[in-house]
Amino acid sequence: MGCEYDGTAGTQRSKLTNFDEQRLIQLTRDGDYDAFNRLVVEYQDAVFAVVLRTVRNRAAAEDITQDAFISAFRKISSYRGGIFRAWLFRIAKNASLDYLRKIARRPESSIDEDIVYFSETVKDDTQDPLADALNAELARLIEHCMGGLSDDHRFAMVMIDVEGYQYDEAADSIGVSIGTVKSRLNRARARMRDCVQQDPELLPASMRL
Amino acid sequence: MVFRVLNRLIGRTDQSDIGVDTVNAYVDGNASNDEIKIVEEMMRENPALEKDLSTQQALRSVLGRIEKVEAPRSFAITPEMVAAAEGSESGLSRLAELFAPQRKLALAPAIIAGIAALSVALLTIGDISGVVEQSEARRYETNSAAAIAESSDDSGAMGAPGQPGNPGAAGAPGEPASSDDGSAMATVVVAAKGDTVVTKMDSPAATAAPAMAAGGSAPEPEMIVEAEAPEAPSSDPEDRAFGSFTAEPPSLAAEAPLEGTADEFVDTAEQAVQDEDAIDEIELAKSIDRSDSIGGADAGSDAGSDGGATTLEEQPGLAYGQETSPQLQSPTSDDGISLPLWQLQVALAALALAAIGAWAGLRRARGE
Repeated sequence: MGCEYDGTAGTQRSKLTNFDEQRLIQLTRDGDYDAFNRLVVEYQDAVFAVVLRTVRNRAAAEDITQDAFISAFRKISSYRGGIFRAWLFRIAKNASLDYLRKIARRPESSIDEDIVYFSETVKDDTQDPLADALNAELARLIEHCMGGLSDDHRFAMVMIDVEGYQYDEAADSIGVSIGTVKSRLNRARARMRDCVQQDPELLPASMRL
Repeated sequence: MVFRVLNRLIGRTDQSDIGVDTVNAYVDGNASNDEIKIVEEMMRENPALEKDLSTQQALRSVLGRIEKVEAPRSFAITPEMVAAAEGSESGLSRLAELFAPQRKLALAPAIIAGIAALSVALLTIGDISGVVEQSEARRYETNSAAAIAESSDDSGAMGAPGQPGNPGAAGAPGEPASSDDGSAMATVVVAAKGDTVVTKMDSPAATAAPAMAAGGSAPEPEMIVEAEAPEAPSSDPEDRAFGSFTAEPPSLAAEAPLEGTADEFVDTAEQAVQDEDAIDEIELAKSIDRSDSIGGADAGSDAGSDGGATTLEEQPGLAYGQETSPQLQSPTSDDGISLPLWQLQVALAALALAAIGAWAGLRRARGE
């Protein structure tokens, strides 16, 4: 199977069928780079998004994503079935957590300088400048609050609330049970709720106590 | 329970009242009709719960409105990338990856180090408290030959007859031992069944032992305590059951007269070390204690007579190299567990250090 990748990120959104995916995986096991790159094109947006939300550093997220795909290619023999995307997420998550641990051990380095704000990406259909400004502030607040979550809680919230994955896939990606994911998400939501209410004027009316 | 009560008092809800699954399902909008009824009933009882859940729903809505991220570039891989990754990954880094924090083996080095260190501590405590004791073979070596020799190293030549590396002590039986400067030297010779143990304490300057062994004209020893063993050397292998010391020694001092008692010997030995520093005195005292034990049987008899000799009849089964110290006499007298104690301690300590070193090295290999 040849690779039809044209080098344009995010433009090829073709959804592979499970049959195609398994065939590509089998070809990858045989060392077919083109087959694996089809899988890369399929999942690179998702992997990069989760990594970016987790490490909150764009440059680091790019490096981690690239390394994750290289690692996935080298470890393809260890893939035992299941949701391939979750398997990729697990590799990316481990790499992300490794990065965060290294960052945590180096107090001189701060991710605040390169923090990823959601301000430009909170969608609002009102086209109201005031609403846009408030959304930008709200996005900063959310970013700040998400930064205060533990890595595990943040990863669960990113996977489910931000990226919209199902609990089972998130559990598969994190490598824990669905119950654990639900528990983490519940705690993450509670902490986020408490955090965002520190600045209530930025919140929509429904979020103010 | 306390937190639930406090939460209710301050108007906050405890979501565990209705369960995580139900809360998540309600916030996600995936709750069943039954779950919705339960939640709504609880919200009527506690308005704060309604506010909490509505806040979470709104928050989730905001998070869901965050625009999806697209990859800024292609992450397609090439053979060069993979080769570079494999090339940059040394064997050590591959090994280190197995012990990365998220791996199951992450804590293995720390656990190994901890267990080893704990074992060393327990062995040490057991040794101090007497629960664990050095095994007999090693204890013999330590107490009879090595320790005595070491204790005398600082004060002069010392050794047991027939023992390799102690030519000075392997002098001819009955041959006088001496020191060049005339300082005191004491020799204890205990013979049983023709086998002889010689414990010799010398002053630091007593370096004439080799010369003595070579038959030099050394002056008379100041003190010799010797047990006569008129009988022929025992051929019973059980009487010779102490490792390298089972070798047949030369027929040392089989007929030599007893020239002093143990008490005199001790006095002389103490006299000899008066000018030594405190450490030497302590070490010598240990040797004296041991020698005193050896001569204990003698001391009970008439000093200066042949009757003071420790004979085979008095101590049947006394093998060559076997001392009469209560500590050394019989393995059956041990109350504790007999183990190769110091070997275990050294090995476990080395294991602990190795594990700690490996843990640090693996962390460095991972770039942490």
